[in-house]
Amino acid sequence: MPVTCPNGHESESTDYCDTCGAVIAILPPLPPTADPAATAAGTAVMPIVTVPPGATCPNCGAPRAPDEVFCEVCGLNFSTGQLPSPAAELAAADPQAVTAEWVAVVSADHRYYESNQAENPDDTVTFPTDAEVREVALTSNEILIGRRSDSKGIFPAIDLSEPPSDPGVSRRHAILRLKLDGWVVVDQGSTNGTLVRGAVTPIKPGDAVRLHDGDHVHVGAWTRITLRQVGTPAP
Amino acid sequence: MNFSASTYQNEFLPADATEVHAVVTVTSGNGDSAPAGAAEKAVVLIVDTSGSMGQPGTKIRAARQALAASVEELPDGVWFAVISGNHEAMCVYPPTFATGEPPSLVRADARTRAEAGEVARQLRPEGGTAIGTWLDLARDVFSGHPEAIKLAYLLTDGRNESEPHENLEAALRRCTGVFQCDARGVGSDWEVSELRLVTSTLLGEVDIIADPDEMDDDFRAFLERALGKAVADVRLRIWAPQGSTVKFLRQVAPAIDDLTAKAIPVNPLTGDFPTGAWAGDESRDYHLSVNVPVGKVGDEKLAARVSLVVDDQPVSQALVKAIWTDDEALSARISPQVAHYTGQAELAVAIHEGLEARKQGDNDTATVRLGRAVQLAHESGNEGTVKLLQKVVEVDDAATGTVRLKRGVAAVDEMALDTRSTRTVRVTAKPQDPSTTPPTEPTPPAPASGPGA
Repeated sequence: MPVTCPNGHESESTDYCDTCGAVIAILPPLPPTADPAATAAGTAVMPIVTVPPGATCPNCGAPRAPDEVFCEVCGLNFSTGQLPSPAAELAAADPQAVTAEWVAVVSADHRYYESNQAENPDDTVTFPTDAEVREVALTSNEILIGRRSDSKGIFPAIDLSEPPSDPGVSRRHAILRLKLDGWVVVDQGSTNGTLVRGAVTPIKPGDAVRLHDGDHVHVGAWTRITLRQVGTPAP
Repeated sequence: MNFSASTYQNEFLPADATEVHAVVTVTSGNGDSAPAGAAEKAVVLIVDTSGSMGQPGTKIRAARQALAASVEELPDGVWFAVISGNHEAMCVYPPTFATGEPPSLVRADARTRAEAGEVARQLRPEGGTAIGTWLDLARDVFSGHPEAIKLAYLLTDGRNESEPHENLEAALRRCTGVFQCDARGVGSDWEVSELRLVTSTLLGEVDIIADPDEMDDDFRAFLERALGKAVADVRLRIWAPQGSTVKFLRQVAPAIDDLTAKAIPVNPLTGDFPTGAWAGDESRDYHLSVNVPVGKVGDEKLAARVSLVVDDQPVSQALVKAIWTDDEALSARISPQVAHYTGQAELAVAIHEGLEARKQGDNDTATVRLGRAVQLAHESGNEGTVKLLQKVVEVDDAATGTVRLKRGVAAVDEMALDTRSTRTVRVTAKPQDPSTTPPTEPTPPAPASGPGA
């Protein structure tokens, strides 16, 4: 779905603008303290984006006055590059807002598995024929997709080490994050990448890619995760 | 079948620069999902049967023999037809003149192979040459098989003298995008520019058959190439930002072919460039040049998005970037691939101009241009072209391009040089260039241990 480039064009591509070719600013990553497991494991923590005055908002593309501290449209803090916490915002607005109105439907996608077979010449990864479709309610504003590790203290909300256990998924693979205007997916530097809406090219690690109702996210050897809105937001 | 695309460029531009160059390498590989040979294949063999093919008779005899041998070896199930061409065209197999049916292809089996071989052995030389009518008939013959991979092979020994040149151009316009066509000139009485027009328009290759004895092998090689094709219609889709222009897009390996004029607009910023059918193990290089609106120092912009499109689906892409810098050490570097293919393009032009000057009797210009060609071919390791040049000039010093024109050069040697001047060699060893973009294929799902595992 369209994103907005620094020059204000709507763009279907999320890396460079479809109109002017400008780099579409990546959203700031989580502050380092929020991700101790990744940091401990040696994952590089991306630097905080700082914004020179006089430009447009790197997050939403809105024009900004040089003396503004926060973006008037999306609330980005220009000096720290941090967005307001969606949970806090939503909780303040309506305590019922962050509820199980969204689910992630997890299934095994044979076509996607087939498309990966060029890289699996020895058939070391076999497609699970008995996989059941399961639904995970998105009850938090940050949902980790990965593989559980008790020793490393990783307990993903969408745990793909559960049967049929997809071997192509990294322990900390990607995060679904609820923002003010909807869900995004952010690849956490996974080994095999995260594909969005059937694309052949994985999304860039650290980039927040917007998701909408019905969008597919593919990870690992066969896993398809479909985002679904199951109810209307609480009044 | 899968495709990957890589970009070779120096993305750093000096302040105020607007011209971006990149070489994009496209490689196909046989995936497990669609085995090569799955698509239906159709070949039409067009043989010149004008009177000159009988003078000397070795030409028509070799053509009969090569044609009969190749149709008799066609694998079961391949669709084919044989066209005999002089001042008019006739589909001699499958025969339609007796039945009054519209011309069509026939499926190869024991009976059709034997019948076609018999017909090939009876071809008689008479009449003139009107290549446009041959191509139009081939288009009709192919018309019942829009989904097949359609390749034609056209063999002639003469100039297109029985129809105005406009007729050939009009026929080529009608055939564009319908089928691909290779062309061969036998001997030295044909016109390189005419056959190059045919093959450049119809995405084929032109070559010379200097000696009729080579015909047999050449027919066979054509069929082998044709039957190896696995995907019919692959396009390069090029997006460039608003306010920019695609200055040129050339195929630069295995041979130079300018594709700039072939753009089919997709939207105001995007055009498709047809590249024809691909086998499962091909690699081709393209040199793209785009003029983009100037950026500020420090700006990064996408200068082009090059996607490979099969059946209107993008299957792979390569990014061409522009980053403006005031660091001359960065912007002064030239990508070795871009430099190499710029040289190969200059080589083809130098040969063409040298041969033209020689034809006009301007020996000074011919010596300078062919000397430059020797120098460029030598520097880039294009040994094939060096050998062809040595038949036309005495090389005193290849490094400086010091040459003397030879006297009494055989016409076929000059034409072989002209015909093959566009063949290129690749950069011998591709250095690990930091500007290299890795193929944009999905990352393989190896049994994984991600970060934190």
